[in-house]
Amino acid sequence: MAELIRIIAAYFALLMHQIGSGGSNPFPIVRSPTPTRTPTITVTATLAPSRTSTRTSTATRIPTATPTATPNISSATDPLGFDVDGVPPAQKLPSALLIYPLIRATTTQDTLVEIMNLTASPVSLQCFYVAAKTCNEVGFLVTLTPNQPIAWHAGTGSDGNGNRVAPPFSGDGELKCVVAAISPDLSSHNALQGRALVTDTAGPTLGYAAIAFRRLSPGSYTGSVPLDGVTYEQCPDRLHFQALASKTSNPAADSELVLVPCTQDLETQTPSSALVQLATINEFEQHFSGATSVLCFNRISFNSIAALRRSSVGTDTMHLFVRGTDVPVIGLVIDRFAIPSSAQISVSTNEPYLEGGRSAGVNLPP
Amino acid sequence: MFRRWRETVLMLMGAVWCGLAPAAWAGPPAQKLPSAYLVFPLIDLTGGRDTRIELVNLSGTSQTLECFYIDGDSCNETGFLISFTPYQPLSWLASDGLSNTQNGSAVPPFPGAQGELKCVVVPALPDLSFHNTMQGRAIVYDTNGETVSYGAVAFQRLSDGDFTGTVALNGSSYAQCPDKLHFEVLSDQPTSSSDLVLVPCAENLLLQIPTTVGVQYIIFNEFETQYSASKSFSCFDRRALADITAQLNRATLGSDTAHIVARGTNGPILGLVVDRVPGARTAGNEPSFQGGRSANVIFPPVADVP
Repeated sequence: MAELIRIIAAYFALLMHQIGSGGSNPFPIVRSPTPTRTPTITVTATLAPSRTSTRTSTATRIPTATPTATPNISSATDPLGFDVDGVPPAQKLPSALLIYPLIRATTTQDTLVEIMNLTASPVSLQCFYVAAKTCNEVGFLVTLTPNQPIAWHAGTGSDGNGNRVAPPFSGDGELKCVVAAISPDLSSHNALQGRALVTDTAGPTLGYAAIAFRRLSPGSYTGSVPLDGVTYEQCPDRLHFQALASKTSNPAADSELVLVPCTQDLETQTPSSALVQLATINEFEQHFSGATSVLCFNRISFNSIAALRRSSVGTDTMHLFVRGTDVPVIGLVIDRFAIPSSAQISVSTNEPYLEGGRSAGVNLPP
Repeated sequence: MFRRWRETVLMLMGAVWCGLAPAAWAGPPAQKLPSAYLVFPLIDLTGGRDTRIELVNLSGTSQTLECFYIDGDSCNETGFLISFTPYQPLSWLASDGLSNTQNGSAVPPFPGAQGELKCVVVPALPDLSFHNTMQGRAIVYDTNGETVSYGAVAFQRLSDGDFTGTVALNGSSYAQCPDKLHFEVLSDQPTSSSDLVLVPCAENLLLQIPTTVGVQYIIFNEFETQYSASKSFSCFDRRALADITAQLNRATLGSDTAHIVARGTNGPILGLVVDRVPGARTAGNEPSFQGGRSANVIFPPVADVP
């Protein structure tokens, strides 16, 4: 009997050692870059003690590393011909890297950039505009007090009270902001959400949410943002849009696809380029394909691509797949359509659904 | 001696069980991913407006959805079924509905002025990959050009199983509802006032019992000044920001934007803000999520589960 008890005790001691060997936290963060069809009963970072104090009683502020239960959407006849692998970035959660794929400041248009600190601690950000015309970056620092919302007009760089927040920006481009965490805790990294309003003095307003990536493992901010599914969430492998097919060649009434590469080296100012595969499926399940390319930023009218025209697709709505071949891409669609029984054009943003994950990296200057 | 060993072993077993037991994911629902349950918090046919509802099958297999309109005035539901071929996109105008004789889908016109739409995947097989297949969005537009587009709030199924008519948003069967909604909104100005639309996350459409929720609001301006307010509603709520509290007025708030934290007191909530920019321009403003809270949505049977 004593021998049996010794064997059982040794067995449990071994188990406890294995659990404890992962550090002091018995609930290790699951960071699987490979999605699984099984439910990811994920032990999240929320179960770990957090050093961050909040003013609310909830203990659920999430720097979660949960890849969620995203299944592979597997099909023998994938419209793009590639198996989907990896885990896309989960959206609408407190995050560490924000990418605004469309910033526009012209004589008649401006962009109100909004960032919100979702934590009860101050947060410092490193932000970079990337100009579409030159692919050059302009960097600046932003500091947010606890729970602070901040907004500035890209054209002037000033907020509504005339205080300068960012350098002025002109033309088309994108904005990237990353949390320069003051401590290596996940809760110090995953603190932000953001959106933008592109306004026009004589036209419509476009509102969209920044594409957000969560930090997945604790560590200091180094200026390099590896979107590898271990340190930060991966880039999406492909984007899905449900869009309205183009019925016009008039640019003012045509929808547009805005794309930026997920990989970017702003330290050496090396522009990223990507070939982009497009596939569309109409309401009758008929497939079409097309291609385009992107060099640091691209804004493409639907009518310039045959596979996105109503005359090709044959139905009003289509399911559009977008996949960068060299590097993953992110972006959005600007929907435009003529309002029935009206001379007006409806204009709105169309944010993508994300599927799969692929690694990329963003290098930022110090 | 034997008793001490036994206690030690039991303690060790308890510790190991706690460490290895399946843990539910308590957290907000991740968005923009293939999902099993969609909530469109705003269908609007008021004042000449219409809503284009878009759904897309992101999978390579056929799908069936049970959908329910909920009239924001009467809180009554209207249910229907939609079938999708692989990767199929489908859209319709809420004022018109849809009749597709090829796949047997029939969508009635929206039975009210404004309200919400809920759709859940009825999978052919209990595997997760048959549940998490859909996404959706809506475009609310006016004849004067004002347009609000937004993505449906999506919930992933987290474990295999058949659809039973009850969507348990508990972090185990399906992702939880968000505990808090965070909005960054434009402060109220004389020429532009944004709207906040809220719906309850929990709903019993089988017994047609409207869910009433109290809502706490905490508001921060750009100078970290904090205000609070509270309201309550049944099944659907749309109100101007100025109707929540006068503190959201630009002159009082002192900044162009505000951070609103909205939390249902007796149940989680979902929603969006209709941003109004001076010049009568609009845009959809979807919330960021924080934390998770469990809720159940109970649907009436529309068809036999395959």
